Amino acid sequence: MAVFLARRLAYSAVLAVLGASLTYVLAATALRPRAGFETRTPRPPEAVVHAELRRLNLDDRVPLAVRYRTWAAGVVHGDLGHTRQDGPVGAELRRRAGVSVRLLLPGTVLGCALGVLLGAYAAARRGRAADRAIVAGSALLPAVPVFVLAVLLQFAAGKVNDVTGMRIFEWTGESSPGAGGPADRVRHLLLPTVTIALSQVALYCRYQRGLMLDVLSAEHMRTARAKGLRRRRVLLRHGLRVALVPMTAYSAYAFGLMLVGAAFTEKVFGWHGLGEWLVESIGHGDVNAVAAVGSLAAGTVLLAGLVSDVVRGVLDPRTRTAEVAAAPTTAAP
Amino acid sequence: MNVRVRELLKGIDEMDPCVRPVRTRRRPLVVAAVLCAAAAAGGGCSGAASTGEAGTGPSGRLPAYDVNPTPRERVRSGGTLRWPLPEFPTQWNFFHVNGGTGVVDRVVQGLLPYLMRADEKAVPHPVPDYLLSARATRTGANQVVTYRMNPRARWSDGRPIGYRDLAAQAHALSGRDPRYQVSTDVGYRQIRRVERGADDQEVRVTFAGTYADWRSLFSPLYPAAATSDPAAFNTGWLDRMPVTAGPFKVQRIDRTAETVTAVRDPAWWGRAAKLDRIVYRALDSGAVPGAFANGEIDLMDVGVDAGALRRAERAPGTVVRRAGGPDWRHFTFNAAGPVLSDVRVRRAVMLGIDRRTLVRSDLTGLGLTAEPLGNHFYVNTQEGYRDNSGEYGGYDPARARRMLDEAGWPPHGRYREKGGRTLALRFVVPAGVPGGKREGELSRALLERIGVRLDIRPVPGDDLLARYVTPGDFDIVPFSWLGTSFPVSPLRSVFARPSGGRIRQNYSRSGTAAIDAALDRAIAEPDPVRARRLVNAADGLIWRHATVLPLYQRPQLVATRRGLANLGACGFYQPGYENIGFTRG
Repeated sequence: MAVFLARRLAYSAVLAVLGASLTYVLAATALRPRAGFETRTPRPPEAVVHAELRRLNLDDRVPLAVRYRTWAAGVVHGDLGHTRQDGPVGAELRRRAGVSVRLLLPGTVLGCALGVLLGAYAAARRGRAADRAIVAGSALLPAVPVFVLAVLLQFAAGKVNDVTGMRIFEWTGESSPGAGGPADRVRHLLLPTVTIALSQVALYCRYQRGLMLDVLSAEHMRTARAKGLRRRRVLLRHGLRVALVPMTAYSAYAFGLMLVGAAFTEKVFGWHGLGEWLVESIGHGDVNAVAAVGSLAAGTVLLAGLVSDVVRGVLDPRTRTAEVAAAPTTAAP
Repeated sequence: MNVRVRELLKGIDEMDPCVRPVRTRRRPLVVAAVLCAAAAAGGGCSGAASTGEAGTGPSGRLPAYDVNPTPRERVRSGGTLRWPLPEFPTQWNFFHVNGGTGVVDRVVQGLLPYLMRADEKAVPHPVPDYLLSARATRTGANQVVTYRMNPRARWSDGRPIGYRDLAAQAHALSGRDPRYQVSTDVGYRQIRRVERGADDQEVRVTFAGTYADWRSLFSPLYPAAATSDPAAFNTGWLDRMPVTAGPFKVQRIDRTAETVTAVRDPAWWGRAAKLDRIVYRALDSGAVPGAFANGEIDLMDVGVDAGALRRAERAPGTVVRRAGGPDWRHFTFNAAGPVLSDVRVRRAVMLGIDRRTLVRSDLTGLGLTAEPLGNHFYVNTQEGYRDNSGEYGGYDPARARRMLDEAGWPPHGRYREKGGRTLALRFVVPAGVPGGKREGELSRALLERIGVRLDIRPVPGDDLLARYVTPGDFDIVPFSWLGTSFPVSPLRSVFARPSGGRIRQNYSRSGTAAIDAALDRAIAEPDPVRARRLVNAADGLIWRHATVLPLYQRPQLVATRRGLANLGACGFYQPGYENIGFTRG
């Protein structure tokens, strides 16, 4: 296991460096930080624009290789550069990563747990009314864009507030300015959590149902039943546990991507997380910020792979033997 | 499904290039919030519709502002105003190249001295809390302005506001010291010297020659500590505002929640602020309607989106304020293009477009009526506005057809032809923005009646300026210019003849010596009344040159919580933040 992990780690490190570098090169080639200055009137003095772009390592007249070297040298020393507005990228990245995790973790955990349960339940009730309802629901939900779902929920919550005359739901930002106690924070989390959970539950549910159906028709299940084990016990101990193994891989990847990809949820609820930052930075031509988020995404996805390998190893003893480890280990979405 | 959707939500001209003054409002291209505040000094606001229901004045004109003007004694003392910002600045030095945005301006208006503020007609007046008087005189060829500062005015560090601050700011923004990363040196570049008068509160500013827009200077005014040293100028206001001098002071800047909390400053020497606190909060345009509907912010910019208006009106206790805004929408013709280089064709196209139809279509469902705009410099509610459209502002397809006949484009089937070439024009619009496309479709139907074919070309919004408009790969493009209280010097770069291959912002790529001379005369005229007359003379020439067809003054629609006083849709009006509050009862 240790050798296997060490090899995976080295492999991931190389991939992370490659991913980050490619992100930087892509961002530096495609984005035009200069445009933000050029469209202003009165246009800032040419010398000022030049000096500012040069200082922030955003000058498109400097060869890309030179800019990349400057950026990479900084990153090696833990300095991710500065944003277009001159704030340090590293501090902003940490701040926003915290916001994203606080926003996304409860909803994702809830969505994942519910999805797995519903999926397993549907598989066990295959073909019956409950299964058909769950399948229909899990086809419908992913078809609703997240921001539509969020606005609908806000609308409903607003109605509840109006009807009861109490302010049960508040959903803008992490907390009310000036308040910010734990209860206020939890209240602000309610709607985003439901939104995220609903948008996730269907995907997990469908995936889990499919996995579970595969497992149910497996031979070891029949053997277990033939040996006289009760159906419930077989389903939980031998069915669900086996079906959960590929699920861990999926959920680790899904959360890694979600972390930087939740722009709409963040925007609609006024949280200032990574997704919003990425979209804004692309709009502003903020190369260093885009590169930082991209690098983080590369890092998280690889880390997620690693985590899923470990969890898989714990759940599935067979992985630790060499011949299985050489096989594809993950089911990336 | 990312950036484009946001533009759809935001509405009509997300991609507008901007013209803006040294002073009033600056914002980067993508930030489309025109939410601007206006507060009226107690009771002196007879010109405004105060009910909020009355969208238009007697002649179908939008009011200059609509801010629920309320005398101070009827405004409750206390309360928190929660005010959304479209983005969160890092650099709070408005004059730094990264700080010159409308957002910074909106926040520092309650925190820093503004020597002059515009009224609803865009006429600047001294703010007596800071400036007792300002007088312009001449010595020889040079203009001298004598400022008499309020002796009670003090910075929060206890130092008086006076000569040192003006001198240091004038030096920092002069452009002569490259270490200062200034956003602009317009105006300050013309300052030759700043001298101390009888005492520290009397300041004499001498210009090289005449600078007619001198009233735009020193608003805001930063303390000498921020402007006398390049390092302090460039980095001293990053994520903080160390010294203030206004009715409010900064309590907290929260980078994680992206809020700025300003509280009433007990050291303020003017009339005390009515509000206890203003919380500015950066919210994405997608979050604003929901936050407003649930009472988590107190006002929001509706834009010109009828759907957003209906949603805002449904929230209980909402009043929608409507006023004419500073921005104006127009068609720019590419007068260097193969067809429109002939002024007769440009005039015919102008006559063939029924501006009233376009205006009605763009502003439908907003509960207001607006007229076509007759001026390239002033909007309808601005001091100096005159309709100079003359014979080219109306809709006259018969005359347009005659003019095209004379220009040598005889009809040939549905469209006109000359030397085997069909009279077809490329109408370039940013893809995904409904307003421009609709304008194109209407114009196509209208122009077809005079035998002109209009080809609508949707292009990626990000490429519109860089790939199509600036290189001249278009015939007609619709967008808005951001208006200002001091419109002439910024708009000079839009109407002056291109020289040496540099078009600046003259996307029509054409001008005349007469227009240039008329603009220069207007810019050099220090007397405001005479200057407005000269501007209108230049405007008449531009109408005849037929390169830019103004459509309408963009309205401002701001939804506010009922009871919010002295704030709303302000047009040009710049507020005294101490008067903002909530009415009693």
